[in-house]
Amino acid sequence: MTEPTVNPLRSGMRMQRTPEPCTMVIFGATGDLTHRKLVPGLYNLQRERLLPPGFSVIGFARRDWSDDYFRQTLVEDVQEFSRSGFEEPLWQSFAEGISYNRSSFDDPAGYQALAEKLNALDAERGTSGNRLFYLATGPESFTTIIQQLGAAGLRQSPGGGWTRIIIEKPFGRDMASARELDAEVHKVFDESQVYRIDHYLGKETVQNLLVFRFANGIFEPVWNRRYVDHVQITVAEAVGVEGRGNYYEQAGAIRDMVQNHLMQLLTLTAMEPPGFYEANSVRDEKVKVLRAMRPLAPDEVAKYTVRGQYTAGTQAGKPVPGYLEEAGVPAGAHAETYVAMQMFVENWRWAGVPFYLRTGKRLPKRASEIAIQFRSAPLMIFDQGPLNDIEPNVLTIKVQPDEGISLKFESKVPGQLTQIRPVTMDFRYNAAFGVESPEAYERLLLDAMLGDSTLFTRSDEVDASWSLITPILAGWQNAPPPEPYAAGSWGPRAADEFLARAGREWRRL
Amino acid sequence: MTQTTTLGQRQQIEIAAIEAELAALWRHAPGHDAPQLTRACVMTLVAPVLDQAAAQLAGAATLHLTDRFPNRTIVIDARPDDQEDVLDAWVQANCQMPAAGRAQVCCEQVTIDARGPAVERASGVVLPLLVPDVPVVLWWPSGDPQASPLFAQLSELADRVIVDSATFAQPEPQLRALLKDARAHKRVSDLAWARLTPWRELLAQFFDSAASAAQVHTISSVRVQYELPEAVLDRVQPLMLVGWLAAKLGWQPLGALLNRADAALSLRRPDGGSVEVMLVPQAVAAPAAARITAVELRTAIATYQVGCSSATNCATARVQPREGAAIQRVVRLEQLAVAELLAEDLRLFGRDRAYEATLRALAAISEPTA
Ligand SMILES: NC(=O)c1ccc[n+]([C@@H]2O[C@H](COP(=O)([O-])OP(=O)(O)OC[C@H]3O[C@@H](n4cnc5c(N)ncnc54)[C@H](OP(=O)(O)O)[C@@H]3O)[C@@H](O)[C@H]2O)c1
Repeated sequence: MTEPTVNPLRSGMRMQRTPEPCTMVIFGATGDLTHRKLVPGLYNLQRERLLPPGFSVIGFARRDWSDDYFRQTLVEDVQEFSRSGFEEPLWQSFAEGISYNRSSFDDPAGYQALAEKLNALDAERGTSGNRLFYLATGPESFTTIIQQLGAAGLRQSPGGGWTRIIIEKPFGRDMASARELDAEVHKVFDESQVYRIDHYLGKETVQNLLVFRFANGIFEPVWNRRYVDHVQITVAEAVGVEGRGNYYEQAGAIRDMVQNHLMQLLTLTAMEPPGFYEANSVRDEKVKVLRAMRPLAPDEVAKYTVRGQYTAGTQAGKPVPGYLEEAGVPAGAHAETYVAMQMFVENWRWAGVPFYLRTGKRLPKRASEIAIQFRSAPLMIFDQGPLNDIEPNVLTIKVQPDEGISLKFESKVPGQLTQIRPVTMDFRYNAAFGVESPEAYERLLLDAMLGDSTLFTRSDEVDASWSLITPILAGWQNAPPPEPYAAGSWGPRAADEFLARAGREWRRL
Repeated sequence: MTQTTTLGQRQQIEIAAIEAELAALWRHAPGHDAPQLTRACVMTLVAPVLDQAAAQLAGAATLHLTDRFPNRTIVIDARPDDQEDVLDAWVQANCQMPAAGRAQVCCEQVTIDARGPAVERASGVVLPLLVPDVPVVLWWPSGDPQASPLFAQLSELADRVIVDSATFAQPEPQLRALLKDARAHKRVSDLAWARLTPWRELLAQFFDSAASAAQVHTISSVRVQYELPEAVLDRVQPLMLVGWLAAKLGWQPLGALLNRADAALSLRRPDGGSVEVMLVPQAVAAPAAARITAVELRTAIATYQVGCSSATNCATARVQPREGAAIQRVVRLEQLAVAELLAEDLRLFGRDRAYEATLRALAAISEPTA
């Protein structure tokens, strides 16, 4: 590592530091992620003056595209998906730095050509040997690409620049495959070079969760088993499998959502305050939470998890097909499109507090939130009776769509009677800070270029997360198939019964 | 961007009843019970306006801010030279047109018309109207603040003060006085300084990489080209940029700065080398504020240039090494309206030490030394 250089003109400037000049190589450059998220995100960053001079992109994929054709396909997507306006001269200048390297992932010649292009860019555009590899491909290609990069001598840059690699999800499909992949990664790259992306961590409200908890003095004292009855984490999607049936059948909701996004939300909710806000301190605390969680034994799975699969139904008044009728879903498919489960965090703070997780596709609306439900008041001193149905306090952190925080509490209804009703106090992110939040990918791409891995998943975190998920997968092997639920409903009835057994109910979102 | 509308009628009311009328405004607001109407407040913004132009600026800016910084705005329309002695108040709510699926956000505005001697009493009316717990921002839209007693009174109440030195008739003494305010632990912001932010960013970016970092200490010439409206000597923007470079890089002025638009100046670097600064005015007809259009820094091994084109809202940043090909890129650089600059500035908290250091350097440059 070179000493970080101090730029005197930066001191006292309250803007983000721009990264050092670098080249980003996107593997899977003809794919959906590149066109919908990555390049529009990069364009926005460039527009906001956050990318360094000389920044370059090399697309790597198999299709027979020229540099020009590649740029042309990107223009349309930037116009469609970029959240800021499109400006021709800006795009022209940005596009000058974009090129395409046609090759199959397993062809060493393609990597030689890549290495030559990288060296040429270092000289022509001053990218100083700094490289960011982005694996925007299906997981089946990860190992091949990493091995080839190693073989081509691209694990480190010549002349002292940095080399980093961003790996998309999913990282493995169970404990064994995740470890195998990790071993392959570490044969070539040092952990400090590896950035495993989970775009949920790029979301503004998710980061705000840490600020909310640790920059305020009044919440932490009640953030524990003495005051919290239980926690509900919901990630609801309105969409179905959207033509990705083949992939989805291999993954199911647990791999697609729980192992990564829901686990992230859970660890951020449950973690202890880190010593300071820095990549390894934060991630150490997250790993501690995962390690404190009790894995379910395969025979407990029936008791603590519920699976569902959507059948035909209606959404927004329109009929929609069931999972089995979706394009790309093989006959006899059995993946769960809904999962609800209880998790246990067995440490001093949380012992005995259930964490309920649920996620599903084709639910009535898109909504992600974390709800902390507090214990009820210890004694009811007001007239009990039909007028007063006391509800517990709930603190809700809404992740999407209308980001914000709300607190539900009891209040007196004006009048002669002591009538009590719950009211909510709402903080809406966009009401207080009208500005639009940057896209999750923009934040994360910039962080990776700046070498800040706080919002990326570390190797031991992935491992700990799989150690909780793998026994559930094993338990499901011998369990009855997922229960059907109609598209447009809040999941299978069994999920309601599951919470009812504990005397609780799911929040209606 | 969302649009903003006025909710209900603007109503004239008794000074003593302002607070009660504000509450009533919300009770009678259409959709008051609907959860979709959110009233939010992150600050009290006090904007004294002394003429029609300032009043227009303030009007546009408060509507723009509704969207980004919901606030209670108190506009003081002050005409101290009027003959009558009048103090009137109006209240109104400004609401943002809701984006699909989002809550509608509204904020309230109080306008106080003060004529003649009543201007003296205006700050007393403002005091009880400040929203508890949230910061009070005094925005002085235009003109020399130090010339007005109203500014002195209101800045006592404020947690931060925002001015625009590009509108000062006598920038140099006014800026020296502001520097004193800043030392008194008040956050002072200047929209003229805020206009320089993208320029500072683009210039700083040239020296971010390890390879170019050392170059910044060897700059030997600075050329700042700026638009100058006819018949005025308004050098605040270019001088501020030079002041910033001098403050950050430790340059000391050698000799005095001539009182002319195309002034040249020599400074000494900490390593003893010298830096030649040139201001290059371009006459423009429109009486717009002076504005920078190009900056060039030279070192022994490269030339760094940023040039902007108002036609495209874009700037070109270019490095031309003495040997080898130039690297250049185009980035967005639009001229922000006052309302937008204000919103940008309100995002920042705390004292702006880079600005204070720049003001000190500026004082050193503009004060003739022996
Ligand atoms: N799409 C999203 O919105 C999204 C969101 C979050 C995460 N992700 C993750 O991002 C990754 C990529 O997703 P995607 O939807 O972009 O996939 P995709 O559209 O299927 O794209 C796959 C890319 O890989 C290339 N490719 C595949 N095999 C190749 C080979 N042997 N040699 C060379 N190139 C090869 C394809 O190139 P050719 O077409 O030229 O063969 C194509 O560019 C996945 O891991 C996914 O889980 C995607």
